[in-house]
Amino acid sequence: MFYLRNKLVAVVVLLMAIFVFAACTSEEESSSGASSSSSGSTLTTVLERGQLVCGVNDNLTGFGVVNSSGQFEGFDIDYCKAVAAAILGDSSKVEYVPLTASARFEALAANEIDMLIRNTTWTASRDRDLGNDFTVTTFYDGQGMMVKASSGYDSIESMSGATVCVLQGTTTELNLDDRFASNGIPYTPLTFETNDPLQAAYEEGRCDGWTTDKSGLASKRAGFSNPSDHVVLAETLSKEPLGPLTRDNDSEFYDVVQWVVFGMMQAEESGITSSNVASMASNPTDPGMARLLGVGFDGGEPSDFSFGIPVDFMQAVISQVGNYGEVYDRHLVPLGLTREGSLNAQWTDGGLIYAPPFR
Amino acid sequence: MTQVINWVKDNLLASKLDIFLTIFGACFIYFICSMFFTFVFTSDWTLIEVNRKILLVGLFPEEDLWRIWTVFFLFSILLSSTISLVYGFQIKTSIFYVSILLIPFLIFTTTNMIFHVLFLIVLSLLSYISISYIKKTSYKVILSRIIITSWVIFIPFLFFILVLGGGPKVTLWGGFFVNLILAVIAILAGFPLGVIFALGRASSYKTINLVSVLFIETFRGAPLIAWLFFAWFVLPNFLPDLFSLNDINLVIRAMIVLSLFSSAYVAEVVRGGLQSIPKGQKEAATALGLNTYLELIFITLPQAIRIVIPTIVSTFIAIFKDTSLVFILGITDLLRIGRLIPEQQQEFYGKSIEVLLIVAMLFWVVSIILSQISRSIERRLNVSQ
Amino acid sequence: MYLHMFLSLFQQLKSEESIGKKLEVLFYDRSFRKLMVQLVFSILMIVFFFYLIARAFSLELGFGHLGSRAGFGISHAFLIEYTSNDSRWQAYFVGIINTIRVSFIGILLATVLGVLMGLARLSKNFLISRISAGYVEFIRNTPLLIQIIFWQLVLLQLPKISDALTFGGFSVWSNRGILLPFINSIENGSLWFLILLIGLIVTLFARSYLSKYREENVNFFSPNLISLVFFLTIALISYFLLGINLYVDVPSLKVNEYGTYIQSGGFLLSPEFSAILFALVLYTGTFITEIVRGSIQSLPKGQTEAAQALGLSSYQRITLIILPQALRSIIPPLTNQYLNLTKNSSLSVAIAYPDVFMVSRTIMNNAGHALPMLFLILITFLGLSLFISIFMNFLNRRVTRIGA
Repeated sequence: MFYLRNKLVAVVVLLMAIFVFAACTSEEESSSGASSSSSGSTLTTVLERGQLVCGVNDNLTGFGVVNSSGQFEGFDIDYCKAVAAAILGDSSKVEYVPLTASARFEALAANEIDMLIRNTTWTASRDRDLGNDFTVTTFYDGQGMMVKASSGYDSIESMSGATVCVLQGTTTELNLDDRFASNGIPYTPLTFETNDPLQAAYEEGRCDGWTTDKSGLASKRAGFSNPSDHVVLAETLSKEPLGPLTRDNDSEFYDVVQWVVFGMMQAEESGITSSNVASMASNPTDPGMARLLGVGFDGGEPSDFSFGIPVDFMQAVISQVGNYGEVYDRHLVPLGLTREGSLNAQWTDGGLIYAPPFR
Repeated sequence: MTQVINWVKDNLLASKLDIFLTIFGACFIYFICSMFFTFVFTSDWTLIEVNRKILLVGLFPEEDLWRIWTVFFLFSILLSSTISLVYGFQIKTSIFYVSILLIPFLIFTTTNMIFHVLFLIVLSLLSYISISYIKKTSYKVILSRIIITSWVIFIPFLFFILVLGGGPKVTLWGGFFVNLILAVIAILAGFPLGVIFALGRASSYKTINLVSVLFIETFRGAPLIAWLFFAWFVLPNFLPDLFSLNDINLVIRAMIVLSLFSSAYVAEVVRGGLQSIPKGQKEAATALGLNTYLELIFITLPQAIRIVIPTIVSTFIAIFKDTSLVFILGITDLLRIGRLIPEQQQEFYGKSIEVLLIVAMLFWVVSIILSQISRSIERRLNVSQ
Repeated sequence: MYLHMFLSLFQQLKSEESIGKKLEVLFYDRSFRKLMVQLVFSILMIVFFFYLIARAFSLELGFGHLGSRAGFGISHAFLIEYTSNDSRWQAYFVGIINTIRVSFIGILLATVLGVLMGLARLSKNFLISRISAGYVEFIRNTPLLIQIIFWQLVLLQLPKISDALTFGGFSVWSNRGILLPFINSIENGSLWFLILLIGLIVTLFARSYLSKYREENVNFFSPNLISLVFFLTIALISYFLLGINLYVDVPSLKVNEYGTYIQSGGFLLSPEFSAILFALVLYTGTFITEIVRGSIQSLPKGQTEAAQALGLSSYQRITLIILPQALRSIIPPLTNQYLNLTKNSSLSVAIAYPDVFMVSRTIMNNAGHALPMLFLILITFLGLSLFISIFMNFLNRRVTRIGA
């Protein structure tokens, strides 16, 4: 009887081992995570995997949010789609990984995602210390302060002694302190981990001001029941250039991401939109446009910049996602973030959106 | 009538202090109930109707929901079989459990789910009633062995079903489903680990004792939220490169940390049970010629675990409630989704307290069932002893 | 003893002839087996730890970053002055003090609530015992996090600061906190209170020893008088040494030139602190209720009956007979609950109360170095747990010394 039990135990353990093995291996095939080998480039991994893994935000209206049908949409999301369209030809082949502000860098460094595009500010310490590289700035933002219109504040100086709500794990805390403390303005910071208690506290008047990137403030303000009760102060507490990030020492993939964004900016400058890209591709009006769209001009050869992706990647990008202006208009104009006169206008209109030549 | 009056006099109006307490208690109950019921009946609950799926399973794709249903069916069959095998058929308790479970079911069932829910109810009732009819002890013993084996292979089987043939990525798991899975795995994996550590703690081998003490005290030393948070950054570095383990998903990491954490608590509880076994048992076992391991498995452990089952069940309840702490890893569990709904969906702006109530209710239902089970186990133990 | 064992083993070995027999002797010897098993186990463990340490080098290590400027503000700084120019070590200490503050007050209040509710649960009054049962069932089975968030939302419903309730200038109630009048001194106020607190604890200890001494020597001065004198001496000496100048700090709510409401004076109970405190006290109170109930129920019924036969009132019965005996089985599980409360206080990361976990999280977000911060947190909580355990062990020994 005892030996029968032994056999039973052995059989059970064997069954368990089989199941675990099966579960592990089948999970590996369909598992998430950008498991790129430590030496290989992310580009090869994405091509092999057939899908791009993008670290994004899931609760910032306009930039990265999950809509009511469970789909991710936003300004940053569209750039993920663009990179996927460029590399894999299909902008839907993206897996979105929502990340909190404090989690994003570690997720990128730990190979959980291929690229991070989550309204992240480009700073010196982040570029160096945390093992990642910033690509092109897609949105020139700045930290701002939102206050109740009834409070009558018009500048940071007037907020002496105020209580300010701030989200943890971002440069906002440090910038806030720099602006207030070093100018001798007393204040009290209330640091929250997530947005929902912060929003509740701000609305109930627990704090006098809410500070985060102006883009974030605009999206939150649009979500209030009465947006005109709140006002975003004109002053910018910091420079916050936002853009996609890749890992350090990943230059192949870095170049691809960078030039996809440049391509979209150039497309807007050249007047190529998602509606006319097909006709422009078959009939380019000048050599520059031909080089951008990866077609030959006047019977010549298409220029191949050896990115490691199809030559006509910009056609897929623009037809499936759009150019810079289309993406901006689709997501940020409804928030009230107009481009005219801001840093996010084309260089030809006095802004900072400038693409190096596709040559 | 006089009986009622006498009862009231005895229990509620015995002395001056009693009268005062009764009045105070009555006012208190009235206050709380009126606040609660006015809130429940005057607020708008459409937010729950719209978000049923998201609250329960997060972003799990529709076409893969059959996996969750399969797991749920198997789990309920196993659970009802276990309960009926141990307790037999009892009307009062079954009615109690069914009525408590009715609350979330009523709130969360939609018309297209109704067939699944009915099938679930039929399955569990069938297994419950049919097993209670098996009276012959030898059949019961075989059945108990089958059930124990099934529980043991339940975890790998669960994973197998959930990821079979290109199942949805683990990042899409969310909602109440994640809480339940994390709790079940933490409990099923933490229990044997905890027993091993308890045995190590009570062992006479000094090195094993030292290592077990170190491990248990370290894990109980820091709060769970700190362990979860640091596991996120620190754990991938410590896992070997085999099976690309250092890339594993956040949810799996949370499972690992929760299992280790629960094993530390279970170890402490089981150690208390081991200590309460009289020394005579060990001596008798040696006299019978059993070596240490046989004696452990057949004599000491069954007694020790039986003594501490109520405490273990309360540890499990605590672990289940602690699964709500995984928000710090960004995992979209029930509470996080509940907090995000008023923020992300404009039409439900400002309705945080409604969502909190529903989330609390879901946790409460599971916890109270578990605590009732523990209480009935305790009662049975006290009666039999 | 070991030497003796090995000597006899060695002799046995010498007496056998073949190698096979010698190995058999070794294998059957219990102490040798034990040694071998432990040796193998230790080697495995050492290999494992070396693996962990080797892996740990790929992470950032070192505590140097804690010496640099913090650069962030903290909303609640108690006992220590803190500005963003101070080092991160200072920020960490502020976090520790916040944790201790909430844990200490939480432990006191939770114990009081738990004992009251435990007694209520066993009361003959039907309503009261049912209320207590309901309290336990509802609060215990809901996650603590949900309760913390709930209390924060509830406390936000207090009037806005512009419509704050000022009870005739005596106190200010708003959703920015409750301001109560307090006694403070112009300088060294908090230091003096700390000295008073420590002095009180020391005096209580001294008094217990003195009473024990008095039991043995009948004619001795009243321990109460001696300890009172002792305490007053400490208080007065420190009063003069620190130059304390007491005044009553009256809360005031002013509007500065820009229209910002400034609360000053008195003692501020911020909504974050109160929310954490309420949630922790209510939650841990349920567990303490169950512990108290269980230990009182485990007392033989004869005690209650004898007390009633002697004609003691309920209050006398509870305080003189029941509770002192119940204390013996209450204290170990109570220690566990206190430790749980201390660790649960780190959930304040969900609302903006800067306890030690949240501060270390901020430091980690700014400067990386996850593993050293984990060690710091471990050490901090282990230290706090040790402190509580030692104190409760002392109480336990005192309580179990009395009676059978």
